[in-house]
Amino acid sequence: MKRISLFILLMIQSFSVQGLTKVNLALDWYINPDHAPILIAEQQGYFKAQGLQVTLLSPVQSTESAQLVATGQADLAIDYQPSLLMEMAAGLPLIWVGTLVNHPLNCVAVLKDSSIQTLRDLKGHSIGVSASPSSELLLNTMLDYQHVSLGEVKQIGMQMDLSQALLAKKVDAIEGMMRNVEPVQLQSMGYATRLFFPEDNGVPTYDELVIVANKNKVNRAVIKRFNAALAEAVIYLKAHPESSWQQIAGAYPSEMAPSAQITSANKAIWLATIGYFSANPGQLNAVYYNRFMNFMWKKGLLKQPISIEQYQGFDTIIGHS
Amino acid sequence: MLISVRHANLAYKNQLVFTDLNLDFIAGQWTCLLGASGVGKTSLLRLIAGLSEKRRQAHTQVCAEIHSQELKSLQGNVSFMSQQDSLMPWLSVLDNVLICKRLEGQDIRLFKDRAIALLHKVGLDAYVHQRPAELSGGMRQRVALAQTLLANKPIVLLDEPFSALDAITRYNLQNLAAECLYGRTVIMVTHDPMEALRLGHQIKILAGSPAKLVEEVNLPSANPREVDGEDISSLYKHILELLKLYHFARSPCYE
Amino acid sequence: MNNIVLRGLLSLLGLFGLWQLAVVGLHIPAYLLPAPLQVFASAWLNKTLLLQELWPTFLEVLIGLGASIIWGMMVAIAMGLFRPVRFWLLPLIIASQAMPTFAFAPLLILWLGYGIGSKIAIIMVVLFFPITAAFYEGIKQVPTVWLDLAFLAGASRWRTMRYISLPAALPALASGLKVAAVWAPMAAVIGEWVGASQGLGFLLLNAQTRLDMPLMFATLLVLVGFSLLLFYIIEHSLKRMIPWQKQD
Repeated sequence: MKRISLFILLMIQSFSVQGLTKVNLALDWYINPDHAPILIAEQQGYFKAQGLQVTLLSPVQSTESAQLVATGQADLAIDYQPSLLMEMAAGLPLIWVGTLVNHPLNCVAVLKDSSIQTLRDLKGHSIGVSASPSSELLLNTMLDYQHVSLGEVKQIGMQMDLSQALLAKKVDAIEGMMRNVEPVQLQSMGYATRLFFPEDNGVPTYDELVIVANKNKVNRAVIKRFNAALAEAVIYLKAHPESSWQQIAGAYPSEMAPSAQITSANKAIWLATIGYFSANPGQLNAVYYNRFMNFMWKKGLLKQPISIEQYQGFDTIIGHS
Repeated sequence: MLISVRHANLAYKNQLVFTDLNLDFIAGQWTCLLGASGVGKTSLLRLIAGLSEKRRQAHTQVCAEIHSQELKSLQGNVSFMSQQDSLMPWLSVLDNVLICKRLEGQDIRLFKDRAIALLHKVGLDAYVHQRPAELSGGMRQRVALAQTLLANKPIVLLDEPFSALDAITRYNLQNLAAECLYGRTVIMVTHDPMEALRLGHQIKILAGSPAKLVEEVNLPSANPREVDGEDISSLYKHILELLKLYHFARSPCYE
Repeated sequence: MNNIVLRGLLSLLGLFGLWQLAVVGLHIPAYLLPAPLQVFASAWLNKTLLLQELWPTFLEVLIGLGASIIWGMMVAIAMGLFRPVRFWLLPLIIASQAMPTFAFAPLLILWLGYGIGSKIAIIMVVLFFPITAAFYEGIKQVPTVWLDLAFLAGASRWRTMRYISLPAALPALASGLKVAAVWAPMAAVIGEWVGASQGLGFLLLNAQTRLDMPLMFATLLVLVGFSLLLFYIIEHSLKRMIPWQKQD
């Protein structure tokens, strides 16, 4: 009897030591500085300390990551808050479980030497716009806020080559750049830019990067541990900006540091992004959330409002542990 | 043994090529089907081979009754030799000769020696391992002849096998074929009266549209005959006159 | 000028000369189109990187091409032997050609994951039509005289296929393979664009996003070089395997 119970005990122990909970996280793009907390949490062992083994999947089309969670092929995904709201309104079984970047990153950019000093000066000029409904909404709100009517600005749809279009002066301004990425990169190449931010121009503040899970398959305990690891990683990042970059550049050379130029661009972006990560990924500000959600609903991008309970998946009677 | 063809009908693109044709072919003899181009000789030959039904060509309707006195059916007893391009370029001369046996599902090792002997008979032993591309037209037809001999069928059908060759090669190959195919039932399609006179024990002349059997010429003497043989020149003139008669009356037909 | 590779290289050289002239003469900025010399410098500087990223793409192309050939030949033979297969499959094959790669690539990656497997699947879809259609055409157009021979010998459908139709159709397959050789690297790159963290396609995207244009063009050059080499190897091998094919 004693032997059997000892044996069972040993089995359980060995099981739990090797028993890291597997989590599949779908990224929104291939590995880049926006994912710093996740990469550091992996690199510094914070995930492991929380009993998690996180596998990263990198689709390159940002619409895919949410789909992977919706279809159950990934546990978590990185998504954009505006997109998430629209996906939820469209019926995808997604919920918010954490925030990576609790601040907008989108901006309108012009070259520093451009004649456009304020958004009002966009009258009679052209602007490149990413072809997504939330992008258009952001821009139109900003223009409206500055009393620029839509007819006075020529909007041109574009998906790629944002920097090049601006540099080549194919357009006078660009919407859709992330303030921590392209402008930083251009600066490092010697091209200065002037930026206009949505949160300064009539758009309620929102979370640029959030973490989503499948409403029907979410494991709250795992989420808690995941967010705790991320929070530690953000502390580490803010304390060790340079060395954290070195670590990650060494861990992901193919994506982060393939060539000298890409390395220096990514390093500049890395350092510029650290300030934007949420220190408390598991926290959701109710006031900011409702303000932004109502903004999207009233402007017609959501068919019906999404309560904060629905957003977090607490509206179902059946709770998950 | 007699091969009888009864009530043969063939239409191509809704035009009658021949209708209710009745022909007899005597065993062990060489019968030539002679006629102008387009009269339907090749169609008739393919019909006898059984190719018309199973390997039907586009826009063709055909029906006939074909009987043999000794054989239950012609199927599996017929060899067919075409005018050209019958050799497969990826096979050597020897393998080309052996291909029929391979297609029959037999073990070609049993026939290798015989194939080489046949190639020797047609004068090609130096070319056993060459590719057809390296051979002249006449040599290729000799390989085809060896292939036909290896297949060893009692009935051999020849569709203008030498008409693409120059006169001297043609002459030599006619002699070779006559020698090799001695004793088999041969039906040969030709548009050359002299060839028919040199080789045929019987010449069936087809003409008109729809085609009909307009005359049968019998030559009991052994083949191959020389061009200056006994009645050859007078028969040649006669046949030419006959063909000329129908030439002006004919309309283009399926061949 | 018999060698197609020689001709290709010479045309390329001419192209480089024009390119250099255009960049210098028209003052084209480096972030749009770098000069060839800059591109070569970047290629030399990043030579280990380029070779490193060539390897996954090369594997994808090798396995993808190999699998496509085997699969395509099997399908073409099945179509040649069985009428229902022909009836139902032929429209599908043509449709596979009409589908833009960017449309179905994400779906395949969603099903098969982000590894090399999905890229191979994408290559197989892209190459399905050129290989299968070409081989099937060859099988369909076997000269009557040989099929007659098979019939008179009483050969079964399979024996006719094996000893006559298949070898006879090889030259047609060869032309399909030459097309496939050129398309395969491109299909691999598209697959990598849609979901990968390695390979020449991925490097292309990464360089472009971070505005390292000399590296991007260097990657393009490596890709083109790879395609040409592949074409040459396949053409050469085909000539050896199908020596009776008519050459031009």
